[in-house]
Amino acid sequence: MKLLHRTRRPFWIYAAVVMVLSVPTYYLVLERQWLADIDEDLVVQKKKLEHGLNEGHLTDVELDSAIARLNALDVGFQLAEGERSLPDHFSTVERDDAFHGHAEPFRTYTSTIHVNGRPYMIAVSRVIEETEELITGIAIIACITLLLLFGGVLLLDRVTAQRIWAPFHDMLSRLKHFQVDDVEPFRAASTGVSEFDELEVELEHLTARNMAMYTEQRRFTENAAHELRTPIALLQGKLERLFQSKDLTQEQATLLEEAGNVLGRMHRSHEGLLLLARLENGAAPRIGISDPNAIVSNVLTQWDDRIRELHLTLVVDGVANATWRMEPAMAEILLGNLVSNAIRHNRAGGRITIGISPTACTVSNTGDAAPLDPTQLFKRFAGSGKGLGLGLAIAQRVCERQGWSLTYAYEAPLHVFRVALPN
Amino acid sequence: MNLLIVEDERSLADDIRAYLEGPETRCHIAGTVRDALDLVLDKEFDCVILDLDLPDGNGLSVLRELKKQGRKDGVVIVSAKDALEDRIEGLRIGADDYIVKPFHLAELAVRVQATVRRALFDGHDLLHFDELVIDLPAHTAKVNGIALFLTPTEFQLLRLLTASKDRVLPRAVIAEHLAEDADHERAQDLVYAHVNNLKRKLADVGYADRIHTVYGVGYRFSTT
Repeated sequence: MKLLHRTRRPFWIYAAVVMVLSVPTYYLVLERQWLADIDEDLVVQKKKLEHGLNEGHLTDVELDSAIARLNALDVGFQLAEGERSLPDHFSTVERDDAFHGHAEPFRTYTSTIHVNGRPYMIAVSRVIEETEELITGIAIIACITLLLLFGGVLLLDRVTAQRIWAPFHDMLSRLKHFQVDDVEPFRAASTGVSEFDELEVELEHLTARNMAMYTEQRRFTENAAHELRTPIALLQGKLERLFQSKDLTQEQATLLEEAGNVLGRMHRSHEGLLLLARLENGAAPRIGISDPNAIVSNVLTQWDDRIRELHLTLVVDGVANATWRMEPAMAEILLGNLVSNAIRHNRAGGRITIGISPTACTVSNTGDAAPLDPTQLFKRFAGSGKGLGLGLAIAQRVCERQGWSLTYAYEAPLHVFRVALPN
Repeated sequence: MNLLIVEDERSLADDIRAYLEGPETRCHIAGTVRDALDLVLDKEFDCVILDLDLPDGNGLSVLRELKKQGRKDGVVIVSAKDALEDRIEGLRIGADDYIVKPFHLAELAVRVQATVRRALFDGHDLLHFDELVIDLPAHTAKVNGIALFLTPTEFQLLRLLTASKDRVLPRAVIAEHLAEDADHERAQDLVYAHVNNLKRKLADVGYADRIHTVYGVGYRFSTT
């Protein structure tokens, strides 16, 4: 989740809660207030009416006829002789009104008045439709205001965030492009934000230290390479000259051959370790495109004799024109090690299946009928003594460096090594 | 044939000389860039075997000087560095081959031979060993005009043996050259099988007894 999303999320949750709670609250409070006003008005009307009727000093007969006339006019109240047994009451009801032509909500106040000492039940009413419309209108305006407020805040937030984070994104992209074996170091830039400036300076120091360490390591491996290769070359030269001696006895020849084999082994171990050191000392992989099908067929040609000698059944299932984004030299190392591993640890009459696609590669082989320990498999010198014990460690390093994965599974009777490329 | 060995390890230079020198081949040795430049400006060589790490500079300056003068001397770089950059740089300037230390002298002999032939005859040259004729660029061999049907491995083996004419080739060296799994106990049996096949094919066309088995050691090719 992006940092901005993370900071905005609580804000949005809060805004949503405020919206959800405030709009109905607003509506309810307004409606209550309005009704209270109307009710007060209705009570005043009742009082005015009571006062007016008493002021007229009408006779009972005149009063009855006046009440009948007023009721017939239906100007907001109805009177009926009698005493209300219940206390005064306010209610909202829908009823038809001849002049509105359709059902309308009415607020009605029912009470009792006394005229000429006689009790009359009275119902004072008023249409409240326009008030409801008003309240709805006010609530909508409130809603829009809130939306404008939150929207504006968000917009401002986005604009400022973009401006504030721009130097950070710039730093990130420079850091992504930084490579430890680059000639160009990472240089701190001034951002105008003190936290970022601090980070820039720290990054410059860190990358500089990294580069120095990388150079140091590289020099060490180069020295190690040179200082050991030269004596091995010297020893090898001496041995080969000794082989040319005219009167070499059988015993001397055997000893020389053994010495030669040991030297060869030493040479291969040294080269393997140097390669691992180089793979591990941080240089980013070079960019390149390789053709895994061609490399596999090339590797298999080199092993032609062994494959024939062991009577191995070979199945290569390659997607035509598959290409990998990997430097060809690295692809050769990876596939060469996986294939040689599958041949070395095979049994006579066994099988090798190689699958190649643009996104994966599997190398499966028959061998010992038991799964291998995957925790030990990719460790250096953990081999079974059939090879140097560096091949799989190197293959895994090559994959890791590329961001690919190399995994092992035993799918009886096959030992399966699977390289998975990210899509 | 004149070869120049530019190598500061005198002992290794001596080994190379001892291995490559023969009735038709003379070797000169230079231990520094200065000596090497003196020698190459004095006379032409068929091939310069050039180490890069020299006490007074980088061997590439010798190569540059040769190219600047438009010289055709073949150059095989021999270096303990195998960084891709070094290799590319060497080949870019115009070296014919690049071989990383440690190497087998027999391997060096093959490379030097190929380089010399390329430089002298633009690749249109045939190697003659009595009735045996090897066409390097075409990867074919004939005896008395009869083509030999050799597998790629057998051809490689024949190249290695002939390039180290009159020298003993240890089995392990052959195994490694043929890109076999040299660590395997059966590698040497495979060498035996390949050598026998090659011997049989040569004998079939009347070219017998040129590859000799040196018991307990390896094989030696020689002409009559």
